[in-house]
Amino acid sequence: MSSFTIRLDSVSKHYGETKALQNVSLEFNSGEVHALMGENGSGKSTLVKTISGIVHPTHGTVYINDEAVKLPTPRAAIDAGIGTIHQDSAIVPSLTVAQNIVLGKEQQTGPGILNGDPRAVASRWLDAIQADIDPDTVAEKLTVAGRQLVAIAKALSNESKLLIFDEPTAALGDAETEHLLTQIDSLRASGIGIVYISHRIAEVKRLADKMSVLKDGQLTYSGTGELEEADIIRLMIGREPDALFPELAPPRESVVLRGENLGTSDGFLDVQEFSVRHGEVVGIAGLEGSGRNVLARQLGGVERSDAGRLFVEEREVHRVTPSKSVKAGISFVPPERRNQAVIGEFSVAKSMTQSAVWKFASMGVIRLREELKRAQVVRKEMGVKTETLGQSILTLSGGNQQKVVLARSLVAESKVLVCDEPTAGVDVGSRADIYGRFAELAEQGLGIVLSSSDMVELIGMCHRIVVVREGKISKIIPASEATEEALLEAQLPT
Amino acid sequence: MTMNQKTVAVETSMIALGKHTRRAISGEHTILAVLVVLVVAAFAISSPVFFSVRNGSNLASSISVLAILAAGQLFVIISNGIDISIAAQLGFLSIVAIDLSQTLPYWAVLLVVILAGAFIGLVNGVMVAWIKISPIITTVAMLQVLSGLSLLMTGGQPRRNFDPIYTALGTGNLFGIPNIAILAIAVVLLGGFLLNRTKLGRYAVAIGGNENAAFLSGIKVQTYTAATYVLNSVFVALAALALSSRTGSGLPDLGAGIEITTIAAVFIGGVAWGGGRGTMTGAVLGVLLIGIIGNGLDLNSVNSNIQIIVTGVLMAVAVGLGQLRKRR
Repeated sequence: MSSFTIRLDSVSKHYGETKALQNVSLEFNSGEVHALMGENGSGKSTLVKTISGIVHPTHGTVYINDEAVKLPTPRAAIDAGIGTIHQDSAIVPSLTVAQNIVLGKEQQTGPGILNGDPRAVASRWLDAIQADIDPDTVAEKLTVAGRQLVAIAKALSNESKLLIFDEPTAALGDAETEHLLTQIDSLRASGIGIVYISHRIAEVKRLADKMSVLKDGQLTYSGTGELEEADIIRLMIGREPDALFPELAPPRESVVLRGENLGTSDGFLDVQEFSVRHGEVVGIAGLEGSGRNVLARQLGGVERSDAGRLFVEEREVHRVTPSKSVKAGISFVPPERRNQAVIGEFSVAKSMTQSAVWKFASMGVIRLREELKRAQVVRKEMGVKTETLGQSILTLSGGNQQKVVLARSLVAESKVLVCDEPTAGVDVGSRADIYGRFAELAEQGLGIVLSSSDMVELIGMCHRIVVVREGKISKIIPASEATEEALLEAQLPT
Repeated sequence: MTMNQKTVAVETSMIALGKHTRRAISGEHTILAVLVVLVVAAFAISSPVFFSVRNGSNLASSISVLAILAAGQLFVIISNGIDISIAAQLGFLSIVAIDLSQTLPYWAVLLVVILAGAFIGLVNGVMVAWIKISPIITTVAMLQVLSGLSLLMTGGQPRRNFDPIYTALGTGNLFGIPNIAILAIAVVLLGGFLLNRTKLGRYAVAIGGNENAAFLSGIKVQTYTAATYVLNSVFVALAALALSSRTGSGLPDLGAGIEITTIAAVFIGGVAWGGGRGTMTGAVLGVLLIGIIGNGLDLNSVNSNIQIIVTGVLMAVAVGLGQLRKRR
């Protein structure tokens, strides 16, 4: 195979004020595995989208074999020889494996008329990666690993010269991972270039010829990757913990929230016990796909676990629903504020009382004056900066919106607050504010569960941190012993 | 007699649709097919005229129009759209057809009406695919515009043309098979071919099944989404020609309510809400079930309002069963 090089020359991508990529210059070559590393939000996905024709760079140029190219559509990238195996393997569930593999490139006898049987093509490429999959299988019946393999076969069938793998092993078991890595090895040997994105440092060290690290949209390292694991982690984190965090008072003895046998029915998430004491801040750490979010939802009482039981101050919440949980004293703060927490048409006051209107209602009729009074009180307590309580919640800054969401636990007089990513999209000033409130509320006896992908936040804000890895608790780290290295190590799959 | 021919015709269409479809019949459509047979049997027993030539012809023509419309709507729904405006399109195009038929030769009427249909479909398609207005809002707007236009043109008075050349399609027959049924069979066969054997059909399924995957596979999602609306409206144009020719008239509410019946038939046929899944066979069986039940209830002098209730219950049950099956 002739050599194939794709080179990015000071590529930047801005979304309004946000700089997802800044002046990144990189080169990917045929016959080598180039690992791309970085935290969530570091710009990896934007970079991948740029070379797969989904995102168009604001500045900079992409060269293929020293020729400047524009990749306006996924089709253009595919035709240029760039194949992407997306994280959530892009597959049409109702079509067969063979139909999925040729999708977008079907053979035709006449204009628009399909030429019969895609199975031959499909089998050829499935065999090429030693995938034991019947081309007639309907795609929705495939396992995650199977979908992954189909996506690879599809990319190969397009005669790709560069394959981009976006966290291909994130959802795979050991044997499947092993198979995939072997295939990637032989693809490299056949002269195909590989861009390999993964959080798993062991895999990267084993596989990669080159390694690049992105941090906040900038390239912080690019080289042959002869680094120690700890150095790689430091490159990815690239910052020092700052003095955002207040002192926490010691927790009390009594347990406020206890979950037993939480988990999913497929057995992936399986947590025997999880308890939170009055006044305690318990962190949950875990990578995307580790089950951390589901655990938070089950602790927050918004998702029922089949075999699980949930207790608030030792009183069981039977047949959990969000409405029962909030009445039992649990407030849940979901990770995506705009989609899951805020109702755009609501005023600030209504947003505050949203989950506890029952506090001011008799026979379904809301006592508006009482509601407003309560809103005024919690506005002060939470330090929400707003001109009036009547204006739309969406007119507030992200940080203040989040304070409104957190204020719901005050309105509901909750005993425990379970939040998932409570400071996502919140500016530094409001973050410090929110942390301050957490400390005060904890001192008053509120139990807090803080699920977060931000390790600095976990270390600075928790009494102890429960680390979830592949659906199981891998470690419980007391605040005094928590470091980012220790946390990341406990999160990364072995 | 005609009924038998109808069944034979449907069977042939199934054979023509190939092995894949026959397998589908034996699997997911079994219940529906059995239901159709049971309903036919029940009405044959309860009403002696059910199998009469006259009723056969009635039944064939009412089912035929529904089948043509369902064949088109299937493409729209399978790609995760919906077209509420087909009854309004039907009324409008029937008026256009009758008006033109006073002056133009028949082939020219055919051409212009089909092109007009295609244009209406294109407008719907552009609004949905490029301007990204939701299909329901887009087609409700189209419904309003076309209904208003139809009333404006006619003042609510029907247009008439009883010229034998014009009414041949709707009232004539070939070897005892109503022309209108032949047209419906042709449309259904064409639709089956388009769905299973062409890029349009494959991509409509892909877009409904996983729009992002379709996009990342390099499919022109917007073009193909719009194309489903164009195809649908071309089929509506054919239905308008057939229906106006059968009654010799064009009027604003020629197909009043038929959009709901069509959509019901498509969903009863097992097409998934949200798209990505569905077969022409299923849609045809849905049409047969609704059409035959309507006809049979008529013959048994059941209040026509009750038929509407039956259609609604059928749709809810069919879609509900589908959901339950999916959950398992």
